Amino acid sequence: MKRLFSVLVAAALLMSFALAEGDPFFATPEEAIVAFADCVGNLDFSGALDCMDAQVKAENYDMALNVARLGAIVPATLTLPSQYGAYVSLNAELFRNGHARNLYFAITSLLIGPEFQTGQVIQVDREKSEVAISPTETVALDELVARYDPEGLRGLAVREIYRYDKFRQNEKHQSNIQRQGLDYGFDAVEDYLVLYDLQGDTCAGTMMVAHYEQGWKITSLNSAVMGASPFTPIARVPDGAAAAKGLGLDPSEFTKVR
Amino acid sequence: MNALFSFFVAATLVFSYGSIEQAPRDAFFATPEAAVEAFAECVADADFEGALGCMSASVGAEAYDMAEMMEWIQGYVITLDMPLPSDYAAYDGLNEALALRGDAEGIAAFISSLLIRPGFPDVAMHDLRDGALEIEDGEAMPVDELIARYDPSRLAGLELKGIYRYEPEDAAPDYARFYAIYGPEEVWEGLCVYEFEGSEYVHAYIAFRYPEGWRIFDFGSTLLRAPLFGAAVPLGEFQYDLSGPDFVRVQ
Repeated sequence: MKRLFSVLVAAALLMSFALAEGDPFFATPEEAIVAFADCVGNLDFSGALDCMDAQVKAENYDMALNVARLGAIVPATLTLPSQYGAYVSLNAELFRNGHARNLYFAITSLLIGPEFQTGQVIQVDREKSEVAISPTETVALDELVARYDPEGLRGLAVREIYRYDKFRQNEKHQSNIQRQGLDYGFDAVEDYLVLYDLQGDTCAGTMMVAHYEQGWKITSLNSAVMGASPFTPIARVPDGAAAAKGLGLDPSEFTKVR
Repeated sequence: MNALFSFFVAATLVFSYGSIEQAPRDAFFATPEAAVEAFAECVADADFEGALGCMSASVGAEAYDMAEMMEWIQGYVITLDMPLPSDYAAYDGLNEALALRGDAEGIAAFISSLLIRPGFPDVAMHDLRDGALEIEDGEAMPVDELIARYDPSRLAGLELKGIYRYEPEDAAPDYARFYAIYGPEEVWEGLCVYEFEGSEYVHAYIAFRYPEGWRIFDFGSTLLRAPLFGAAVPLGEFQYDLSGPDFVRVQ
């Protein structure tokens, strides 16, 4: 009996450890942001994606509420109704892809440069096998691949975190968040400006962190209310004030939380 | 000591359970037909994690050549899910997540074409009016009914009736870009005929052979220009004659 109890306790402990490791929730938004940055800084990009909310969003997705809120669908990109548990794995991959693109944009912005990502098609010079990565710099395709060496991200770490407070008391904004949350299972979203250290440089990016019943998860690397570009979620900046100014935001609307 | 032993027994059980769950993602197949057959079985069982495991996203993520891709499309298009260079193993997981989108969307389109209607998975905006969604011109469906029709238990009736290889006498396939960008050792294109709820459908596949075996790379066909969104086409609407000399029934 004692042995059976030990087996069950050990199994439960290991199972919860395994789940926490694969799809962790965080006690505070700041913990989620720091864990994400640590994963990127350790070149653990799958771990960084696990700090984001694809799985829990897929599990909670309510198609009827979502369609009613949006008023339309595009069938080729439709998320399937999650009340059928069988579809959760497919939906999780669709949401995880959105996060992967977010992270891909952040990596490209940091390693190649923000001007490489304008959202436009950038032509390759076929004769020379070169591509313009900024208005003033053209590189060979082999050099572009070399610049993607992830070691350039090694050591990325959070320096400071600022919460964006402008819309926290805004009734309309909060009502929109609540309506979106009903579709996906979250009950709050906070927006942040994050300053990072990266190999002697200062970098900045925005983040949206959502609260679920189990805890906090990052839901996007782009704060919509802060007007951040989806193509440059994190970029090098001279300092934090410049980062806020670059987004056209008033530094007094932020509260330093770390 | 007993407790320690129990702990290790439990640990073994838990981790072996985990590896069984993950097995589909590690499966390779001896033939392209076996890959397609396993995929069809997974869909009929509503095992979409397993269906994703028949696809090449994970192995493709490790063999992708970014420079070749940019040469081929003559540019860098951020809005495409262009993976990061596979020269760096650290990007494998991220590249897999990027590639799985196409796979998941393709599977969702296949399901939608069977459960809702064949042409449903298109890229047009379908508006909601008075609680009903426009499904096609002149036809609307209440959202509750749409959701009810998505019941995956209906897919248990999906039956794979035949697999065909396409071998046109007058058109040699050019797979050079596949070999250069994704690194397979062999490319296969074929068609499946399915029966579902009294109707027959055609669904096209492209499969790649890697050193470990075969996986499905994509839905559709470069040769036939069959739908690339992954939707099944009613056999009666398919523009080719499967009994013609260009098609070889292999199963």
